[in-house]
Amino acid sequence: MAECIIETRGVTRSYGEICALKPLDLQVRDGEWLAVMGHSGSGKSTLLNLLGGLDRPDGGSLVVGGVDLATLGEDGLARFRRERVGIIFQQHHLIPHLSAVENVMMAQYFHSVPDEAEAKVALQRVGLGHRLRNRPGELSGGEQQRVCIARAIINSPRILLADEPTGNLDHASTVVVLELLSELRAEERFTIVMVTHNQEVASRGERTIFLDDGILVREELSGR
Amino acid sequence: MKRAVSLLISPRLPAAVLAVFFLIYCVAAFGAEEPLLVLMKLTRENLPLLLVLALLPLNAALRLLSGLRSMGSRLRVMRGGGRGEIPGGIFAEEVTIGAGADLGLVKERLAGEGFAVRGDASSLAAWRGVPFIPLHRLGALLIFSGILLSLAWRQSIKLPAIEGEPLAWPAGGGALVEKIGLQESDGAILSRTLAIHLRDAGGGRTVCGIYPPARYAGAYVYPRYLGIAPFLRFKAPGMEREMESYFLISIYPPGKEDFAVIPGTPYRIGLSIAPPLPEEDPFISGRMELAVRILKGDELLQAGTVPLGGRLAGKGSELSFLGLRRYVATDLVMDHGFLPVWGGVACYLLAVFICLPLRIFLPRVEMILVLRDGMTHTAFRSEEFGTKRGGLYHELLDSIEKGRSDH
Amino acid sequence: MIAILKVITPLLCWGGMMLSLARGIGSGPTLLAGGCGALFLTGSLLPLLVPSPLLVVAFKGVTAAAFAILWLASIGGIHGAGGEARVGHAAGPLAGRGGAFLASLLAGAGVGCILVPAGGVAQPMALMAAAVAGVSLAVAGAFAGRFLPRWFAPSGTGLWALILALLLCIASSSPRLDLFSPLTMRVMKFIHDFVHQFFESMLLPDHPFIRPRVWEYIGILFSSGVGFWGGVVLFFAPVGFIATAIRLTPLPSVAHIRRGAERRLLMASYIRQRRHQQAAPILAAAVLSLAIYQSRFPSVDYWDPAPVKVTADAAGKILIPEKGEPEIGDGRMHKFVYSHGGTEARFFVLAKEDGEYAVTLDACSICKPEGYGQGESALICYYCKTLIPLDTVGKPGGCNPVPLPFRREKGGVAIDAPLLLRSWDETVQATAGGGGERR
Repeated sequence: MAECIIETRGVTRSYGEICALKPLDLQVRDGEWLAVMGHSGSGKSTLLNLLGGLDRPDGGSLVVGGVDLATLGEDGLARFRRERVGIIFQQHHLIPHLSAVENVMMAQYFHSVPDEAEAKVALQRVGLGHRLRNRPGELSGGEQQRVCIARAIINSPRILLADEPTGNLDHASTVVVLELLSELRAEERFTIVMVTHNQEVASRGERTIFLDDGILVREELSGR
Repeated sequence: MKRAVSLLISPRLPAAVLAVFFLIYCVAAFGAEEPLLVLMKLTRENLPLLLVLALLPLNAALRLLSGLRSMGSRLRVMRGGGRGEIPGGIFAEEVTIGAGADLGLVKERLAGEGFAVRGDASSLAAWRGVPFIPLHRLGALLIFSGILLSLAWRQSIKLPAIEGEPLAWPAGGGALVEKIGLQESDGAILSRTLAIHLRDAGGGRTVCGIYPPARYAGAYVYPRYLGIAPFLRFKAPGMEREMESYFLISIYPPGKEDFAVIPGTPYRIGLSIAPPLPEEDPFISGRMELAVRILKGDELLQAGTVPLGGRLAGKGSELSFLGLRRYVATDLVMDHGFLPVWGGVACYLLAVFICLPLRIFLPRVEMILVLRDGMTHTAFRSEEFGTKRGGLYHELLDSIEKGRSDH
Repeated sequence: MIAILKVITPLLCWGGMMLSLARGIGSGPTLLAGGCGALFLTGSLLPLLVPSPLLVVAFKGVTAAAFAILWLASIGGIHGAGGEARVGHAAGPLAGRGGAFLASLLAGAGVGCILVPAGGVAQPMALMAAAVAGVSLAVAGAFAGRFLPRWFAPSGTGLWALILALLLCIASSSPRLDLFSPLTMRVMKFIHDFVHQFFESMLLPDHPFIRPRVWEYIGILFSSGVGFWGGVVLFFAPVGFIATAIRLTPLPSVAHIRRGAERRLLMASYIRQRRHQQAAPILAAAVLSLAIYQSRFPSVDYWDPAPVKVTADAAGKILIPEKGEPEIGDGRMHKFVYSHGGTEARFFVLAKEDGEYAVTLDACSICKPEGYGQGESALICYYCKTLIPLDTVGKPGGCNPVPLPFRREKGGVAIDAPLLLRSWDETVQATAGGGGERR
């Protein structure tokens, strides 16, 4: 049994009157692919934001990659985000006037120093070796998402958080992206926590948890 | 021996040598009006100080040689495609990967990045850009050598070149100054051109200008200032006979007054060039009037102006302005440091205007990969500025380790 | 109390020195506070034991020597910058402590000297008060160092550049200790000599052959600003060299790391450390700017009366009566101006302590004729800020005002007007190289 890379105990998060996450206990093994499902407002994205250090819990303990996020100050949290996690969003958030390789180098810049050769290789790994100098507007949705994947993995995160990564993609592109994530995970051995509405997408994971109204209501192990 | 060489080649040696001279200058500055001259004189006359100064060109030469040697070694290794022994210390980074690389793929990839690649199945050398040639070191070598040579062996004699007279060469037999020509010119730096026409006993002719200085009898002819020597005949009460002579006095350019002293008498003649016509230079035209004051002791006997060929008489004295000769106050300078210093300056200019832009825009990057015992030995060196250096090399090493050089 | 006000800036500089030393030297705060505090105390009380002029010379000599050493070290640093890769370079603990203690002694001596009036005697109470303040600052600085940002850890030449800059700032708080102004004079002289020697050595033609426009450019090297700007360059150059050397030092290789992100993180940390190393030279540059400002605009009020117009009689004699307005025998400098043929010659009369008069031009034979002001027991040359002790006024040489021949007659001081004009003209023409100008 691999050690836990994510461990939450009684984590809660409210926004004013609305309790987005009720006390949640969750363990994720190192290298596991966890899918998070639930309908809108169930607390999926809140959970992802907490795991990625984008938000702070109101209560409970949240240990990610051996780091207790509650103990980190703003600088520590920023460093945690830079060095420990990669995030893929449904909206790509690519910088429109930069080329694909420059978008990836941007992530390197905020992490440490840019290295073009490494950024190019990352794009080659996601199958975009021929689209290095294209801007996001010149790429298809699937290709844009692959740039996002290259951007998310460029800094070798131990955890990849994906928020509806295929939400905007057609079926063919969805398959390509999921295959890619699979391959990369096998190579890099990072942990994936992926929020999705799509049962088929969720089934790529090893385990799926279901949230409802901020409560973990069910979990399923996938056959894969 | 090795220790001595490493000391002599140390980049800190020049600072230490300069420190010695700086300290002497500071001490001299406390006690002397002309500390720089004191420092130069002291250095010239003290062998130990000259030897200390000689460390500067020696250091520059050793560093130049060492730079060229390692550049030569690298070029040889590159040309040989990385085969053979690679001397230590000529590359900046050396890494061994515990996996064999597919050199064919590496070669393809580096060629795609604009590298020239050479090698075989077991070794590979790749390079791009122009090697940085340490011309500045050659510049330092030449300048410091020039300073040393000049300081130790420069000799200079003052020798006026007077039209129609032979140069008063110490050994005798100085060339005849046939003519001195001066013309206005609109050069970028010089406003005049000067031509001192010399003819030696054998009939050989030399024309000496302003710059670059001409050479005569192994010495540089350094024209310092121009003068006009009036040819005067003077007679006054109490003088046994009239005096007739050229007077090398400082009355040019117009506006300066100088005295022609009549030896053995109380007479002095204050002479200056009367204001010439506008735009006319009496040195060029040869036309002038002299403003004259004849003094006996401090008593003014006579004053007035005398044109060329004219005379001024009164109170028993008589002055005739018979003619004039142009002269140039020159130094004949024997200095073996002159050319090296200019050569050094030229080297620095070339370094700044050619070598530096090449290093910025076409920096040399060199890489070696050698397969041995199932491992890949690599070496890398980059002359790029900034922090992007080495990115490609690092990535290549990563891909070799992961066995995916096919990406 | 007013005396203490004079040492506020120097004491602040001393506090800055302690903070820098606390961050830059490996010694514990107790040792640092004890050692540095004791040496500051010793230095600040030295004026009670050592004659003030001697102490001033010693302070200036040692500080100047330290600055020269920094200069050479910074050149060595630039030369060595292409060499081995490294990040940060700390002095050995012994050298570090030695330097810190010497700097403390100098800072104390500097503060002490400032408190002793020129030509006067030290006031023990003022010195004691400054010593107590200095020791308190030493203790506070040594212990407060830990509260400074962790990245501020000056080391090597950067640390010593900062310490010396603060010492120079202490020095420039008093015209007597100031090193910048004398430096500008030396620079002017050196540049003048060097250019002359360069022309000689390279057989370059003199002005009769050079285009006037080109000669004007060459003339810049002899202009009044060249001493000041040359001094500025000399002051800032070591700091610039140190910053450049830090920037040029190659970073350690990261090629042995096989994960790109990890490699970049290490590289980024090296770059960050290198950037933080620049804090000391940058701060030193800021402090040096303050030192130069203090030197150029000393916060001392000088007696500088407006020149009184005088005329000469038919025989060319200017007579300045002893009694009347102004009263020239009151021990203060009185300036006069005589105009003739488009030339205005300024001179002054000063009655010295021994009752003798000194009559001199309001100009020296070196500097641009900006004139003199009178301080406590010295004149100051406004151009080069050199202090001229009152008892040497009337003697020729250096930056002393050029003496004029005069006679005491008819209850006044008589000066020959043509002689005055000639002397003024010659002096101003001679200093044209140093920017002298006809007024």
